[in-house]
Amino acid sequence: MPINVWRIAKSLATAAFLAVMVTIALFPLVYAILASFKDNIELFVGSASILPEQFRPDNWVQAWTRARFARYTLNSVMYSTGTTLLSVLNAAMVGYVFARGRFPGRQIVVALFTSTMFISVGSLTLYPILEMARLLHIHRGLHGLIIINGIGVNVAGYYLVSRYINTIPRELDEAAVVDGCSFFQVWLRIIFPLSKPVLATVGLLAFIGAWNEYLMPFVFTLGNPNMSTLTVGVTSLKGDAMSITAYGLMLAGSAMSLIPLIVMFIIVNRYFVHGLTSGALKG
Amino acid sequence: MSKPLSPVVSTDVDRLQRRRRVPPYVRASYIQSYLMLLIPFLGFVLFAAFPLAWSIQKSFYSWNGIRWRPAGLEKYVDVLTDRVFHTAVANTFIFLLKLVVEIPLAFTLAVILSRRFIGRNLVRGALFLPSVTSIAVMSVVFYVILQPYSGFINQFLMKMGVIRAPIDWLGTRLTALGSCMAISIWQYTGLNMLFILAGLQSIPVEYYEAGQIEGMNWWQSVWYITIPSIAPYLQVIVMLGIIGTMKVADLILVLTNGGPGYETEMMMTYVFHHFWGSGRGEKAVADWGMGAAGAVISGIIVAIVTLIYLYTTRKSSEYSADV
Repeated sequence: MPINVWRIAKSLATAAFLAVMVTIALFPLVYAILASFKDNIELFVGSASILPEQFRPDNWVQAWTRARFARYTLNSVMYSTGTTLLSVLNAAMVGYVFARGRFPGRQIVVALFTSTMFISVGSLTLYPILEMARLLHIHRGLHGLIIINGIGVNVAGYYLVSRYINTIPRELDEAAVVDGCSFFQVWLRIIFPLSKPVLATVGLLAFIGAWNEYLMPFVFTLGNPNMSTLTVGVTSLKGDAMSITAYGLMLAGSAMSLIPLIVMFIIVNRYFVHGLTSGALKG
Repeated sequence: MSKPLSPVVSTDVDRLQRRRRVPPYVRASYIQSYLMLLIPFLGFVLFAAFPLAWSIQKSFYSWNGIRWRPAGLEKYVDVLTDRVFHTAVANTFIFLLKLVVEIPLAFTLAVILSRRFIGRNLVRGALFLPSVTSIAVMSVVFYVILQPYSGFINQFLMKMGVIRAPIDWLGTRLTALGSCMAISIWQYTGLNMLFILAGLQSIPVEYYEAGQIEGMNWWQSVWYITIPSIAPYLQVIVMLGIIGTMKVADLILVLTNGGPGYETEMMMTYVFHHFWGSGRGEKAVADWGMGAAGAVISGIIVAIVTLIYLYTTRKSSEYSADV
């Protein structure tokens, strides 16, 4: 049966292709975690094996106790949590107003907010943002950045939330209005509790974004390493004069930043994938 | 939804009066809407509109260490005649070429993963995982992996007999840019794959059934059904890819910091280095006026590329919308 042979060969080739792709995708992550248990001599000499000769927790212990990584982790947790809470509240309210509010000037506000997708072109506006933070005296540390991220315009979040709210029947709002709820109370009592699933997605995206963010926390904590996040802490190791001997520390720090994310990703994969695809594409 | 029947024929005067008389609930809802938008609107003014206005204004000034003085178009001339900026623009466009690998690869993976098989969700998750990681942190990991003598890549290639002497991956323009592009492909292929998968799910099965009746083989069905059907999706995906790629900054700043020399400087890192100083060479000291002018020029370049892309792909999405 030549057709069957051909078919089996094709699916084997497909499987092999996928196996190679999965290996490439996971390799750097696995490498960072496993190699962080190598000792510095082994890392410095180098080897073609990703498994350490002997598992040594030295790099982790050193990073945690002497290289401020305990502090960085705490900062990262607080920064990501703060940003997440404010972002969720922000997206929940604006998403509701965009979905249900009918007020003069609505089109203009929607257009202005949407335009930020094109205005805030990465590092182009980084410096003036810091200038503004300086004017407001919130430029030395992460609390200012939490405010900036939390109240800043989050177009993808707004679209996610308002599209979700559009699927909630308007009759619910109308019933609440009849019962004497104001526009704001309808949100607080009816819509906000009902939009929890989409808010979980928005919060997750905000958390991971903040956890991974580099440039903003970097410039906001320049010269103030006690305020650094994990991401900034890890990358600052690279710039040190000692970096040649710090491979172990770099890998342990990277692993500390990566492992919580990977664990979280495995647990909440579904929400995350949904949020990313619908937020970016249909938004 | 049925329209409520109006019991009397309403005159124009009636309608005008009704429009002017906003019910109290509605008026209150206006005010509450504005209040709920107030803080994000403040965020917009302070952290989106102000930075833009600041950059545009300051691009016509020069900072002498104490205060800003008007400089007209001086800084624009400086940036446009700066060889480093030329390199940065060229590199940014070279970097775009990674999409030629990334998007077809993501498409292939999406087509494979749209079929059902055991372990499909695991494979999807694994391929997507790199997109969840921090590119700055991963740049540190890749920095260790790419080290010429101790790095895993060279050790591995030498052991396999592919290369004899170690390659200094981050030491020359070609290999450094190539490494950065490869890392970027590594990170974003999974994300694009998910986007394309979302598009594939929107194609009705009937199209493929019709194709089968017509005697299409698998390649033909991909070419004549899948690609035209998801053309609007692909258009958005490629546009997001272009904008995202031209914004590349973290990866370069951490992995090469624009080096060796200025060989891997990008538009965004060029601007960053003028605001914060690159800490090396003649450009070690910040020049804010040049940073602002560079930011405005780079922003315009990104906008032009986006508009050209949208204009040239308009036909394809119109075509597919007709189908």
